[in-house]
Amino acid sequence: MPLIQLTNVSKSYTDPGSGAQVPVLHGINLSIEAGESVAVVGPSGCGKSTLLNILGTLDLPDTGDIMFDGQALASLSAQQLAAVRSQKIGFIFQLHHLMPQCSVLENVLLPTLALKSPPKDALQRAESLLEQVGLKDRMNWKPAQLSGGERQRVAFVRALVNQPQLILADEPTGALDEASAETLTDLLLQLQKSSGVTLIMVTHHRAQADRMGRVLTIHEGALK
Amino acid sequence: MKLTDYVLQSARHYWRGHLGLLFGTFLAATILTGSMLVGDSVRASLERVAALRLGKVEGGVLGGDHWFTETLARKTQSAPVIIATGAASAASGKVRVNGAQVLGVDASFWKLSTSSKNIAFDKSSVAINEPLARKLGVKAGDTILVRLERPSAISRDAPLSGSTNQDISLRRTIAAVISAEDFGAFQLTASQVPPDSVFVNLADLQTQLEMDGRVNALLHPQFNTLRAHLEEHRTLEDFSLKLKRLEGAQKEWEISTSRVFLERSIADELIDFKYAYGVLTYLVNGITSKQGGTPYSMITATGHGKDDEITITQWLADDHKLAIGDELEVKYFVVGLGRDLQQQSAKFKVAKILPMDDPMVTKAWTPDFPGVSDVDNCRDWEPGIPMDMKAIRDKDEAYWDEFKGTPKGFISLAAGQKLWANRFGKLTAIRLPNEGQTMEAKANALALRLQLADIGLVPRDFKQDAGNAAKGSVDFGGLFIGLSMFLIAAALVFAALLFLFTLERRAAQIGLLLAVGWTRRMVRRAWLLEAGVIAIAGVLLGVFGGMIYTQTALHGLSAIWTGATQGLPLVFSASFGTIFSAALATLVVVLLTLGWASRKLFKVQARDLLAGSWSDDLRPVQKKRGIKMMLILAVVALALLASGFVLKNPEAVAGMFFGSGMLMMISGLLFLRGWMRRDSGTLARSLRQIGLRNISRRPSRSLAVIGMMAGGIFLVVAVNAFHMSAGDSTARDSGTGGFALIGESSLPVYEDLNVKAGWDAFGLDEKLMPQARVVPFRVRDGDDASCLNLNRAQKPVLVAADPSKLTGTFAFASGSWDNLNDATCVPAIADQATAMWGLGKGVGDMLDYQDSSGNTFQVKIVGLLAGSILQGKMIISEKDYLAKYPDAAGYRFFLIDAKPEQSAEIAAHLTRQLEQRGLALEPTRQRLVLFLSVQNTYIGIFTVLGGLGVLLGTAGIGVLIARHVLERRGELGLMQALGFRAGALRRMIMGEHSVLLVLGLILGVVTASLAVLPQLIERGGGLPIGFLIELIVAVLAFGLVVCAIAVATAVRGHLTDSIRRE
Repeated sequence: MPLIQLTNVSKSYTDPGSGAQVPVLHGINLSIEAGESVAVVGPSGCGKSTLLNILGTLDLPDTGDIMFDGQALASLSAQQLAAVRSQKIGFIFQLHHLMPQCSVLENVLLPTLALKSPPKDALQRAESLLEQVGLKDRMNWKPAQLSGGERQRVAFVRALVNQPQLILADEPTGALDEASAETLTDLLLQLQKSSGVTLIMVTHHRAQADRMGRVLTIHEGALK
Repeated sequence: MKLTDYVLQSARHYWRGHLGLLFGTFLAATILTGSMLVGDSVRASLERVAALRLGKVEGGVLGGDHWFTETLARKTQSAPVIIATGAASAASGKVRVNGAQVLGVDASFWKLSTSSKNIAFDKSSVAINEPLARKLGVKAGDTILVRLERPSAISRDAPLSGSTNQDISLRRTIAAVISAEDFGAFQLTASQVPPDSVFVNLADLQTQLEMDGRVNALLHPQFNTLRAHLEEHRTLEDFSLKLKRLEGAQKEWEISTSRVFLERSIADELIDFKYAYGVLTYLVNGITSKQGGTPYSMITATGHGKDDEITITQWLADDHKLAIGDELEVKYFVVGLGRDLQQQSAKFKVAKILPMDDPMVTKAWTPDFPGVSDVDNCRDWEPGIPMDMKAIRDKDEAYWDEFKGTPKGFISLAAGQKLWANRFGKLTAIRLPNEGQTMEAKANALALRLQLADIGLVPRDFKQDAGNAAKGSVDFGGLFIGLSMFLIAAALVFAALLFLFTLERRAAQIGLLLAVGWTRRMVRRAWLLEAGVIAIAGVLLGVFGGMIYTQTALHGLSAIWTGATQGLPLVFSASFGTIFSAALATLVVVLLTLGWASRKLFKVQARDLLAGSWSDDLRPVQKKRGIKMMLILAVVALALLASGFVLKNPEAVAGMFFGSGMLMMISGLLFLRGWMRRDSGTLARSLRQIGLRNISRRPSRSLAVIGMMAGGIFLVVAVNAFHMSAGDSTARDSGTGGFALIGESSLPVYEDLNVKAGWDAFGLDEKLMPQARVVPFRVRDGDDASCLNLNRAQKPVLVAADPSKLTGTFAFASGSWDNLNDATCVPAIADQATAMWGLGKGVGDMLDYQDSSGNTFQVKIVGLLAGSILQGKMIISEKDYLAKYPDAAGYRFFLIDAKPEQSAEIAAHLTRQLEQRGLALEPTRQRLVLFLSVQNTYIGIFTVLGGLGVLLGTAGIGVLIARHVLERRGELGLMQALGFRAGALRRMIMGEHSVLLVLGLILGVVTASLAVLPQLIERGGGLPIGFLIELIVAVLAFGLVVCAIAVATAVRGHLTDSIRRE
């Protein structure tokens, strides 16, 4: 059974000026197995981020069905969707969105607060993950004291701390220089492989996409 | 990490951003705590005054007209006291204080004072309290004159009650001037105003009043003890009853009273004794027959017989040459209202003639009539009824010399009572068989049959009454909260706006938390907890601020707003409970406000928050809904306006216009919102136009600026329109009722001042007096329930008049004078302010009173006067009053009709001629202005606090502008990079925000003008237009200055740096 199954998914937005419906995604059919790494590529405005938001339950399709881990997302309430996000999905954004008021370790542990009963080994796992990304010695630092690449590494660890089944990365290295982006891509894939998590990454870089197990191209709202 | 760690860390990290929230919360807490502590302080001040005025007195008995034995007080371990009202003047006579409290006291009284300090003075001296000394300008060692009325055992309205001229004057040296702490403030009335008191040696006053061994009040330090033991020590004398052994053919006891007529409650009890029978002896004006006439004779009604038969004495038979079967006519007075006497007559047939040595022919039947029984000659009689002295013949004098008051005729008791029973009683004596008991044993047995409560001598818990009066007093805490409401609202809006700014800047964090699986509720809770941490800090600071606010407000109330506290010496008081409640309330209100203000942000999708692609201008525009709502509000506002022109009740009219203005303002705001969200469709071709476009960029913020400005102006202007003026005080439907003069007398006036007899009694000018019409009111003393008394009146003063004399006077908020004729209850009319604020009652509500027999009866409010000079009183009909208080005598409250040009002359004349009665008159307009001054003071306080609110709101606008501009630094930098000069950009921003200020101002002024329309039309002069214009100009100027400072602060430095940073 695939981890994610999208059937005939469509999404459109209302144009604030004219009030007309502007289609963003239409007729998306997609199946992704557990442990896969998938890149989503396409030109700006083609619907990559919208697809990612739908996969991450941050948005709902207008039509179509989404099965996640054997569960139809359409039937879930907002609270149940939040629970799916906290337990099964990890997000990595182009901007790290770290809380400046929290330390590195606290930022990593932030998703555990969303769980009804945070796992007892959460702290241990957070420290271990930080060690894997080379930030163990900085786990009490504040984000402002880190470099851009380091902040994004913290964001990676934050996405993995609840041992999700799926990581959604929206241009995770988009704000970094090429060298840092390369290093971080290595790290991300390494973490993905070691943890066996499914990774879906939106990217503009063909080379980065090619390092994924599968590449999906979206053009004018449809999968090619 | 726990949620609390996250919350605390966030609060610490963003403390600068939360300063606005901290300040707003601090301000709200300061005002709320301060206002509530003002309430605490006023209550504590009232309790302090109550403690000083009562000392250690807990309970007591107030006899009023019922005087009882001093022994009763002594036996119950109470202090015997005489409480009377009089007039005091300095020896020079230049200054006179009416309505002074004259107290007959001994050492036991001083033991009840807080200090227990004994103030000793002999019979030649008196002590006075500090307020009286101040008013008279006297000190210890000076001489004082005290004028008061000698009490009468029987109502002076009663026939045969003797002369009304029973004033006495005491000329005494002032031995001491007593401070409030030493019991100088003693009074039993719940009032914050200390009385003017003269303390007279008890024995001295008893002698002067011819009331040896008797008092009319007793005071006790323990109410429960008094209640338990009072009835144990009662004697017949306490009921003003006399027991006499009658030695004759039949040995009998006779019970009579110094009040002439036995009170009905007592008579009903005693007549139930076995073989007891009643006696009613009456002074008739004359007995006539075909053969002659005999003036002024006693006739006794007792026993059974035919109603039209009379047994006469031989003397009368001889005088008229009457024989059995002959007819004679008896003429007599019957009692009307007041001292109105109407002569009536009855015819009898002679059934029997008694020889003069018959045992029945004895003066024992006749009670002691004051002014009659104690004089040697008939011509010296002063029975208190009009007498034709010329009618008295020598043979009548001779009869008096030989037989004194011996009745000349006897009729059946039933016949006598049919003719002469009146509100004072229906028997003058009760006789019982003498079975050989001793006088003492019989007296005790009789006393046991009676209860002091039957004659209204019931123990009263003064301490509890005082506590209730102070507790239920004007809630200054609530009042100040109400008056500060706009200031509190401004503080909350201020806090909410700045909190929202912080929130908006951190919107991505909300998005992230939602993305990582936090529920919206969790995120919101975390944010409100963070705000709560800041709010708690603000509240804690605000508690201290509140104490300072209270001190300032108390100072204001003592120095500037004295009209609100009416002479109450204020002390600061703060209870933990109040502080805790205020702090908690502030915290809850702040969090609710923040929760409400931020509700929309927490509904934004995580993806939008993360992308920063959200704002209120991106929300779909619900144009149609907004227009619909605007139109509905405008229609409702117009409907209210129209009904405002139709309605009569001034309060309702004001409410309609106020509501109309308020709805118009909201409608205007909705219109502006629609205008801002419209698509202009035109191309902005100038910097000014671009600036104006910015107004609609964040409609909610722009509306907040306009709303804050408009709301502040609206409230301050509209509330000031309620500034009351006396208006046309000659109009019948005004607060004066069209009367020119109002006044009170220290001693009752028994005479009708509208007729010649009354004028003669006081030597009044017969040419001047026909120009005046006096409406007299009977007065049952009680608590002043007007707005001048801060205590909650427990038993408001009851006044009574003939409703027909008031027809067509005063404006009614509900009902009319005719309602006083309702026979199904004891109806009362009260001033609306008295009922609503002084008593917390409305039409249909009841108040308990006790009649003269100690029975509780209910008075029902059937009408409300609109803003009148009759504040503080419950007005009932004289008929009902006399039914409940038959012993009441005279009038002490007056309304006088006179032409404006003559009112001063009439006032001066009446005051001079009725000086002995202590009459003090003042123009009704003056009294009305005094009452209105309280409301006007509240409006003054509101104006100050509301004005501060407007200023705070304006300062908030400044912060809002600064934040708004800071957010736009990037685009401003871009514009500078494009070649616009910084000065031009500043002018553009100033321009766009000035438009907002002016729009708010216009909206506020227009809608407020609508709200105050009735005031403008009816009494434009009453509205402080000059002040309001100054206020509006000042607010606008302040707003522009704040705006300029905000712009200058936000636009300083190199704007182009912002682009580089971006």
